[in-house]
Amino acid sequence: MIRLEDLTFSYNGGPPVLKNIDLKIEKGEMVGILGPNGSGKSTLLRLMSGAIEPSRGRVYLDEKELSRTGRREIAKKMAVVPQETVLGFDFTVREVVSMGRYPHLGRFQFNDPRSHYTIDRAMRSTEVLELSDKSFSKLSGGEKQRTILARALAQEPIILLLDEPTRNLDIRHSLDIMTLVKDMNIGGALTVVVILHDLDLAARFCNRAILLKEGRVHRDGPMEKVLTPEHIHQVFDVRSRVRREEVMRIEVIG
Amino acid sequence: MRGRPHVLAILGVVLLITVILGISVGPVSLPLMDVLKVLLSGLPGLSGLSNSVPPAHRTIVMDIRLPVVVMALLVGAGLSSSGAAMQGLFKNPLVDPFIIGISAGGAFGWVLGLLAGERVAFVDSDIVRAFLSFSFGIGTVTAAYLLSRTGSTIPLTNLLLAGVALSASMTAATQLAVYLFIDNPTPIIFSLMGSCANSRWSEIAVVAPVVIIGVLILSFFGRELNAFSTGEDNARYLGIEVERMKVIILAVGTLVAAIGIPFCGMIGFVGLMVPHIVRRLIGPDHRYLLPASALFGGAFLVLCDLFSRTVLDVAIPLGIVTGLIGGGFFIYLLKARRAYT
Repeated sequence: MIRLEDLTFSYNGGPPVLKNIDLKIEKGEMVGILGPNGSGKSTLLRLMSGAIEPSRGRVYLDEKELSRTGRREIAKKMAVVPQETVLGFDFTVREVVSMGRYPHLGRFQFNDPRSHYTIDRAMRSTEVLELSDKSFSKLSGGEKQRTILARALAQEPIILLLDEPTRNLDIRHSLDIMTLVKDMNIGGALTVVVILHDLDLAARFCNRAILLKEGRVHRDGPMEKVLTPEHIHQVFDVRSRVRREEVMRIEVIG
Repeated sequence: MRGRPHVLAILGVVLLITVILGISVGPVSLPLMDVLKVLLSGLPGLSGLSNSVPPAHRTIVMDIRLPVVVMALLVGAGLSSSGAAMQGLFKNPLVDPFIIGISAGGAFGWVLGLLAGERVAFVDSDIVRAFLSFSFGIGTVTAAYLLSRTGSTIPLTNLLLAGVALSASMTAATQLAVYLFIDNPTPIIFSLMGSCANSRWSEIAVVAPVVIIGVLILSFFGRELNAFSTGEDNARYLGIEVERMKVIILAVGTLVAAIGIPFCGMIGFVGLMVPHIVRRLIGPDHRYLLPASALFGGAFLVLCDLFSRTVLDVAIPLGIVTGLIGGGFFIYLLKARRAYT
């Protein structure tokens, strides 16, 4: 689905933030991007989304080079949930979610029945339907995040990129939002790439981990092979314990 | 739903009423019915309607007041829709078309035309001054755009800063030119303050098509502007070619705001203020905000113009009226905001 080829990126000719990245995201995967602050996680996601262009190397979406693909075509396949969304004006929740239909609508076309159906369905699944007419800027962090997720789903994407969707969320809301994404990953064959700070959360929900260290891929593979106490120590400089329950759990000791 | 088509219809009616009011009030007060009859007699099949109106009144309506009112309407509509579009694009409610240099550049161009006309007889014409003013307005925005370019993108904050910087330089240059070369600067200062008085049909013929087409184009980009007001990255994720869109919105927004300056001078605060008021009436959705701002802005400037020529024995420059109202409005906004945040 997404392929990164010998990717290097630096901001304005500074030192490279990412170096020689080769990656392939396959259909149906749920991939966690993990690593300490400044390891290049967000930059990697922004490169995948085409928000920034690599200094060297190429990004492919469905075997087509991203920089040569129209944004509308990309938006029909790929949706992005950024870390934080701040609106300039007082849009309602429903207005924000409706923006997700943009890539599917013609210039002179208003939302058709299919759009309304998709918007309703997205809002129901993220449980923001009852917030429809509320002002987005007055929502709590969790409600905002669910609204933006609903907007992403209204795009009807086959790939979803999320940048720390659980940041600013309490543990209940974190689990809820990850469960929701996981359900769509299993049920709807939605491919998911998600940046997570919380290793335990990643271990519970993702099948594959990409562990970044200082702008390089330190380890990449199935969760249980990547998130070992040894690798965690190498990258995060902490001791940890890995348990295998019905899901994999990680406990950081110190 | 907030019944938005209704709000648009109501604003349309309000605009019509202000137009009729703007025509009937003046040194010679005209009966509303006479004004209506003259206006309606312009419609096909109704030309006999104005026969009962005194010819003097007909002349006042058609040749004196209507051009002024229509010009105020067009300039107000252009400035307001441009302001609404730029606020959406920059995701910043404090942006207006003048902040990125249109008016400062326009004023400089106009003074330059004046100075040139004093020295070289054959460029001493309104057309030359209008052309210079318009070109410098557009040129300043273009310069801000080029200055803010980094690589293949135009960061909007850079553009704003470049615009503010160029505006300051242009204003200083205008003042220097006036200070050094003009013995009696009073008339020039008055002209720069902005006024729709003395508008002529030939000028309207230039302004009208630009404003009408421009407002329509901006309105059709309402969805893109909605996306922009959630941030540039988000707009891109939603499928918008953001750099191309910036060029389109800036170009059209600049044109509709700049086209009035050569004829009416700098009428400040309208582009900044009107979108704020309209957002409260109709919500932030740019598909409605744009046309509504045009209607409201048109009505607003027609009223300001009416006020400027009736409140005192002498006509006050229109820019002073909008400036006074604008300043007051923002103090109110400041207080109101503090109250609910």
